[in-house]
Amino acid sequence: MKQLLVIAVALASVNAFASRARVTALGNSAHLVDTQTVYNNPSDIFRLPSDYVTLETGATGSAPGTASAGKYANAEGMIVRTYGESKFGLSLGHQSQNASAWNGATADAIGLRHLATTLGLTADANIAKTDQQNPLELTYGMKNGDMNLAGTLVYSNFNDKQATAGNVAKESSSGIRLGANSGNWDASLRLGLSNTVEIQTGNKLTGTTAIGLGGGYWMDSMYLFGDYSTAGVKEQNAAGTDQYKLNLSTIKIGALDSIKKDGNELFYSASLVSTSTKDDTSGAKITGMTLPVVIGLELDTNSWMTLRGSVTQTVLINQSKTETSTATTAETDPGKSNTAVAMGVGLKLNKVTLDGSLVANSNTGLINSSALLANAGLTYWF
Amino acid sequence: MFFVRPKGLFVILALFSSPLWASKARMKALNDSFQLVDPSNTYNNLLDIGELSDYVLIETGLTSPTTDQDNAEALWQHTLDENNKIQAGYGHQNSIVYSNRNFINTLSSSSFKLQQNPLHLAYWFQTADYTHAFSIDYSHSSDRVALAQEKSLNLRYAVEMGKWQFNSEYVVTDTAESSATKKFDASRAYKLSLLYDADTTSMMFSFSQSQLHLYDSSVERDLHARQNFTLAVADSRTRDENTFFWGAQILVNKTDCLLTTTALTCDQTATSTKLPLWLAVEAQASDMIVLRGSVVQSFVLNQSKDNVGYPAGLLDNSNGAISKYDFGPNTASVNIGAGFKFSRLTIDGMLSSGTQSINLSSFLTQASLTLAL
Repeated sequence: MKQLLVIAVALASVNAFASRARVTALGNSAHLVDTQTVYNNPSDIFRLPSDYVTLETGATGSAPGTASAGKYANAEGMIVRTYGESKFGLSLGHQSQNASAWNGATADAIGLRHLATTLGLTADANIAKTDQQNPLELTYGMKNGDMNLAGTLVYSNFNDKQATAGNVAKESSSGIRLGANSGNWDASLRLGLSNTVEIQTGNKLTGTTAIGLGGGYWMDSMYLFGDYSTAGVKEQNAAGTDQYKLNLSTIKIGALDSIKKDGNELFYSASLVSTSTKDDTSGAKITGMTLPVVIGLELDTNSWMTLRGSVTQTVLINQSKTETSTATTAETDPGKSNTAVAMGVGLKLNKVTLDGSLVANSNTGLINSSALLANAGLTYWF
Repeated sequence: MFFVRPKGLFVILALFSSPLWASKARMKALNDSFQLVDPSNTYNNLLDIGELSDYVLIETGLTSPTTDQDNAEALWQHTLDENNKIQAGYGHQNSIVYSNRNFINTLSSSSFKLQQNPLHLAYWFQTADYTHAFSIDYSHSSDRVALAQEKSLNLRYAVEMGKWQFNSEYVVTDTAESSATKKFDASRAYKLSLLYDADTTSMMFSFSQSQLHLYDSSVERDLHARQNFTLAVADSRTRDENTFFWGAQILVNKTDCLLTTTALTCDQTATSTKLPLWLAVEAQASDMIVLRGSVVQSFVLNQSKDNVGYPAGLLDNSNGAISKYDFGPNTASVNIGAGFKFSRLTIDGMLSSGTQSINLSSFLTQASLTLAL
């Protein structure tokens, strides 16, 4: 009974805010339920207040061979509607990290297609600049007793039949995401089925593996979570010789404590993250172990505005080691500073919410009118 | 609010109780969806005059525009009696005229002027069984020293019969000269469209055709023929003054190169077929504010075949070389806008179009002001 009460309180106080800006402002915390977390666990569509249409501002995704605008820089939108006991969803424009060419500075902002270039490996420049093209996602969810189940199909395709030598001729990707939740637990399974970029009479990138398994469990106000993901790509030249064969795996386990009162929330979490990136062709390897701590808060300043923010930093454990097949080329223990602050605001106006980041660049610390609401997102709740 | 096509008593209630959100910014935020009733959309569907109450609309923009979206313009509508309305406007760049002049300017590096001081007059009237609307659009400018001039004359006629609406547009004259020797002529272009309203669902078919001639020293240098077919459907749902709609259309464009002195491969055709799908919402955020937005992306179908090699950006997926795409590059686009109502005055604008920020240094772009009379 106590658990049910806790769950009811937790779910009832979920703000009807939904956006990339919110997730970013709250440090991408594992316990969040948001229109964006649906892309990780589709069953979250049952944990949101109602059906919705969400629009995320940004530029039209880059064309093949043109540098990606980066994580969260693309325009996208999604609709979820209920039909009886089921829900259907359609997403346009969402970029998946394992099939993108994001070229950011942090691990969560580097797309798998660009990873080899980031690591300094020999890779085709145009492959490393090819995002998913016109990605489409279809979601279906159903209730099974107390359990909510949902699945998503991901698809993208591009085919230039007159591509000249050295330019991108084909791009395609497909995947499945499955999610379930019930009461105080949630689980997700993410499978990449295909991930291909072909250069006309040139290199070809092929996804080798892509599996992600995650879940969490609420115990009173504490949320225990874990995630395991592995993804791989290889690139071959026109002769079929491997240029590289990368495999990236991440294991994360953590705990979070959430203090909710009057619709406001303060949370703090710590997680142990182990990462490994290995190139089978050259024998190069990068391993790391970190203990990021996130402190975040989300406060209703009045009936129509919410302010949110978070600070993230690795604490105590911050190891990284880069090795070739013969020597260690870099090793830090502990590593350099990585404190990051994010802030955002959500405006709740009847059935519409408008979210944005207040500090577009945490390095400048400026809230200014030229980028008042960065990463702006508009959500309409039916 | 005029999101779906109100009929009968609902029209009267809507006219007296709703603010007049109106503008290019509103249309753009809602993906220029064909079924929208908006003063800006009367240039596409003259019959919308009958569904709007009297107003004055002022759109901010350039005195010397570079496109058909960045121009300053105004539109006024007045009811003579319950069966007769008139409309007058100036500054509006006709989409067919602009498209053709921009096409030839880009292709041949010419500098033919866009419409100069365009004038628009329309008349709407209804009889027992039918509703009719006519319009005439005219522009003219002549520089007798530089020997540069332009002239355009468009006639439109529309008729409504029950749930069916028919619009026609004929470009009587579309000529421009940029020097003593260079002349452009795209006269006799036309566009026909048929729209059917089934309560919350609207369907539309349209066809347009143009022939573009470029002369140099009285010798024809370029001749291109353009055709467009569009088949569209949209479904709208309104509740508590909030509207959600989705739409899809099949767009087929065909451009024939019949003659050219550029580097193009002529006697060939460029075609494209796309199926954009859009989701849009317009919601009453408060008594004074409405927020609106849309996302659009080509859905499954995004083919193009260019055997001519038209310059990049001129046609769908054209890149300056012969090309063929079975599935073209990214097309996802999000637009967000807002409208602010102050008694009878509304201000509309874009909050974000292709950018990630809402910022105060350009808070409301493509701003417009509408006064409900």
